[in-house]
Amino acid sequence: MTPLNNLQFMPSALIKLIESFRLLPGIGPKTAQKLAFSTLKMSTQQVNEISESLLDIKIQLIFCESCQNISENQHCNICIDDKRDSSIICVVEEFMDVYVLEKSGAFKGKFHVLHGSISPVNGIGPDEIRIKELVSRVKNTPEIEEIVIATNLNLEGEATAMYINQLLSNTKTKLKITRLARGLPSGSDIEYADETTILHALGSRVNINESI
Amino acid sequence: MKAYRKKKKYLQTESIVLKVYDFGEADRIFTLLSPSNGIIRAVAKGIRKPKSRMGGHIDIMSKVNAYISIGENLSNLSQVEIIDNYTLLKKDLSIISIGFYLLELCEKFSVENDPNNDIYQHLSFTLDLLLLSANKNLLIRWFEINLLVISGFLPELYTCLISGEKLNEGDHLFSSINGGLVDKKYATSTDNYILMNKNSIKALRFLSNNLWSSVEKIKFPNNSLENLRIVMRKYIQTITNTQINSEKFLSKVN
Repeated sequence: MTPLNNLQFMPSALIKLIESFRLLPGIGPKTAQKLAFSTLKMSTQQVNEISESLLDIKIQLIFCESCQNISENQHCNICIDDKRDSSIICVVEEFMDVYVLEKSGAFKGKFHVLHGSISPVNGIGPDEIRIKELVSRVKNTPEIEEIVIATNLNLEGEATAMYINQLLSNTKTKLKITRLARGLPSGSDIEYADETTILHALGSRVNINESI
Repeated sequence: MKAYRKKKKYLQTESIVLKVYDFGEADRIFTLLSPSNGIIRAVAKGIRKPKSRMGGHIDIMSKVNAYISIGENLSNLSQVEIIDNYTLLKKDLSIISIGFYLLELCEKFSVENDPNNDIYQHLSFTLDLLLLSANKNLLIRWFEINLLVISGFLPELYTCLISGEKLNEGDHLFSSINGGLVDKKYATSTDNYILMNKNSIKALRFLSNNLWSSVEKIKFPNNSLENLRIVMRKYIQTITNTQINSEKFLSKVN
């Protein structure tokens, strides 16, 4: 982070707040200053609420014992929901991915959050992410029939998917392991698509009556 | 008065992607190895969004034609074209793990803005061979030794580093700190030596002096290759002064 210049005239508490806002992703020096000045204009009660909620996410949130997603209790709301299909588990890299999939409303099963992907070049191996927890969950939960691997579609995501497949394929005889389809995104022009995407889109083409 | 604006520098170069990491909200920073500029670090803006036109064209372990606008701190990746995506390599986890290892080694032995066509060609050639070669372990050892040759770190294999005498045929000790072989009778207790048998020394000499076309025809004993693996791991670790992260994953998968 580049140091803030020409702020010597400001009170140190304000500079500290600007520096704190700058730790957040997507916040540059100007936005941080705007946020700090807006905080100054707020009532003490509003500022208290913000600071309390900031502390709460660190104090109250833990990882769900079953799916490793963030949760307030030992088991998260998705894991304790009886209406959801327990036989299908969707494996995602980050807890943000859970919310994206949930927003679509298309997935009714349960999740498992890995908290990253295998990236040996960056020093992240299988032991640094929550693959062990997934394997023991699959072994100890007889009703699991399908694992949908929804890791990102880059080499690290693919390597993670292949590694999980290698570990899980020997755990149960009837376990189905699937991968999210890859192809052209909605609203995109074929003109700008790359060779790899076209290759996968053609490879995973579906009957027109099944696609809607 | 006309405002003075510094003219931007542009660069178009063939390169192999060595490393990728997420940056900001939707950006990624790529570490590229190019023949003309050595290591280049460039940011690709908005590449993580599904509608990014660049996303599918560039990934780790792919050969691309990159168009870069050179910045003072960080360069900007403005356009990329795939030359080779190594699609077939990326279908096998064992080969991917070897690929990660080769990429990390090249990153450790290359310098930013320092042209090094030899390392680039060596990596490109070895990636092409990965799928074809029957003995992957031998290919990795050949790659490591020749990377050391190119970078000027070839260990001394013919003369004792302590006495300066020519080494006789037989077992000797490898000193990673001094970078070469030491006759057993001159060994000091302070150095952490690795014992190398006669066949391993012969293999190391052969690998460092020959092209892959000659190397692949020779059948090396498995214990010699294992001995070489231990020697190379220790020596590379000493030279780079760091752990090679992908080595652990490589041994886990293979």
